[in-house]
Amino acid sequence: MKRRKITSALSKTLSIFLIVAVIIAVAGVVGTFYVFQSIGGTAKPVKIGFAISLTGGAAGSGKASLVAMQLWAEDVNKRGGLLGRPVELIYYDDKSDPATVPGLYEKLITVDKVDLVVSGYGSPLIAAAMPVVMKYGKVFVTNFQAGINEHFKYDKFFTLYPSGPDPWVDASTGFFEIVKKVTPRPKTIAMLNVAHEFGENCIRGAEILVKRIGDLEVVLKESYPPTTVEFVPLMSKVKALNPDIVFICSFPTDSVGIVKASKEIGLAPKIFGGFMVGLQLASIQTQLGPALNGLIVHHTYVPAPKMKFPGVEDVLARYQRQAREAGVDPLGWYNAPYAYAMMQVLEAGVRGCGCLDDAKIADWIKNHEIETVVGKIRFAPNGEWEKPRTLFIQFQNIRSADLSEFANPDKIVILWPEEYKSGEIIYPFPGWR
Amino acid sequence: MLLYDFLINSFIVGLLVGGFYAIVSIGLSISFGLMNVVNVAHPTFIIIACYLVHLLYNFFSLDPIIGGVILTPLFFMMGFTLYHFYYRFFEIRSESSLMGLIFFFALLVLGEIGLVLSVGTNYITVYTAYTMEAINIGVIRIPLRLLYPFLAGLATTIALYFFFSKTFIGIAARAVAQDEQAAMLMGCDPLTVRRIAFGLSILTTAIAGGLLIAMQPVDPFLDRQLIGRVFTVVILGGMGSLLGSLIAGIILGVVESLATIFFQTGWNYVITLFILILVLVFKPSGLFKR
Repeated sequence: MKRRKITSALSKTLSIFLIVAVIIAVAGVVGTFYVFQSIGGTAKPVKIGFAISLTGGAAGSGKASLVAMQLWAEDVNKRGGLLGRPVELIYYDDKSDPATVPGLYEKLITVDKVDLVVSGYGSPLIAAAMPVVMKYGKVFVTNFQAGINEHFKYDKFFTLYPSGPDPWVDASTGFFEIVKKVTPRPKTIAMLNVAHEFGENCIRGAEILVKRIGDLEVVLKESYPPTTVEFVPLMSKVKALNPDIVFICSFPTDSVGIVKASKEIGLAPKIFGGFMVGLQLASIQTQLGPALNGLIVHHTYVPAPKMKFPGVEDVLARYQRQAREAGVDPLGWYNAPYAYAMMQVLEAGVRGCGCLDDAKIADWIKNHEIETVVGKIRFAPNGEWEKPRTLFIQFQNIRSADLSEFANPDKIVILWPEEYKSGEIIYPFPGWR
Repeated sequence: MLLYDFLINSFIVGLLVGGFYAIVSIGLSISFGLMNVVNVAHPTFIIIACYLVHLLYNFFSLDPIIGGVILTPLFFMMGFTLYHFYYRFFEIRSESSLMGLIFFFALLVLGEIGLVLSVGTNYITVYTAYTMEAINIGVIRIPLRLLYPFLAGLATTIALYFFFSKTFIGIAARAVAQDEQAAMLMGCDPLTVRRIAFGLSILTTAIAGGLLIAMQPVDPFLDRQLIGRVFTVVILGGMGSLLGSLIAGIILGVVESLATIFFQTGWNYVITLFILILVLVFKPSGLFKR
């Protein structure tokens, strides 16, 4: 009897203990589940894949845009991810070599089974990805490229480069709008381009604009091979023809070579510049220093008062903190906000349709104005921006090669478009000192 | 008038670039011209030197031309050792130089890939006080970025010329090149002499690397553009003739510079290779004798 009492007391204690244990365990599991879900632990991540240049000629731009894309991933995960799932970026180095790109996208889509793809940096590499991306019908929001969808005519393509619906003409419109307004009116122009798809298309767009102006005489039109490193002979030829305008479509290494050679030989037309890629990057600006004064070149972003879109300053500030460690462009004006915005456009599409269905995402992006850190974007049917916004800027009063000179938006003066204009042109080109 | 100024300036730029081609070629003139070693990896050594000079520039802010000079003992030893290896495993085993050619081609590829894997494919540049500066003499403008390498190249060429015509080892090297057996009978050890000569050949690549990076941006594949030019210069100048290389280098520089005026920029390399074919067909011995 006594024993039974003891047993029943024991079993009572045991059962209470068991119940408590079960409650704790269930609470624990559920709690952990909730905690994990809120930080994105157990939910299957949304994988976003891309190839990007971490080595090779395009590595500077590739690594810089990667930093911005990672900032976006950080932000979106802080906000609870996409569709309640955390976001994971999966990327491979394309070594700046377009030949590697199709294989990498094939791998991302079939082996890594990514949910979404975006692009790396630059036309040749993005163009190389297109056939694979199209084969699998993926929505393709891309970073900077120029007019590649003219060839592919892909209906799920979108680009962050702010050129415009007629990309090659719109790219240089600003330059020639500036030319139209200066007095005395320039009469002659020399046009140079790198013999590469980008350079050929760029100069073709510029030629259309020159024809539209009507009374500009083309005294020289010449292309040079991408391997050219010594520009003194070519720029001497330009100097001998004494044009009022020198318009150039060049890649970073050529842009530097051209500025160096022009200063050495004292080539000083009335307007000097064009679509010279590379001169927007602080790493190159701090090499050339005051030699850049007076040049008028394209740009995409300058933190001038009229361009302070919501969120952009925060992205740039965080980018700049990481830039030194990542060994990338210290200011990041040119591409970082756009690389971030590329991810925002995709994010808007996914949230908009509430799905990961490529066709539906593309549809949503096409039919909505999307707010990003580079302003509100509406896309044209060919995936380019509906409204052209390539800035043309002039370097003014640069006194040294110090980074602080190029971090000062008052010295990178926006001349076009009118709605973002931040100063007046110095005309004619002051020449080299 | 303007065109006239322009011609003079282009001519001068050609002359200056030609001086650089000369220093690049003169080392090859020693190995290929004097010793019949088809060192196709010669320009690769120049590119490797560029990267080392760039390191010195980054860490010690050392002027690239001085950096190149500092590297010369290292490159001499490299050439000296490399020749020993080449001699032991290739030259004494085979009559034909084909195996040697393959060996140096393999070195070229190894050098390029080694650079790509260790430092990537980015362009490297240096900025010195004289980058983008020029001196004006009347209508003539001479970029210092080209003038200093030209002068350094000229000095090296002259020094090597005197070494090979006045010093015992220099004369011995030429003697070995002419008739190895006779030189042996005169009491000189052909292997040592050839090792020293090859060391000197590679030594010039250190200087050439310093000059090259002072002039222009460099990437690991630039050797492919140099290779056609250096062989053209050596063959045009007359195999093994050092002064021939200097003059041929200058001819090539001027022709390329003028080609830019009369044709498009891309044509200069085509014209170089066209000259190479013409020389091989009509005057295979070159313009000058050893």
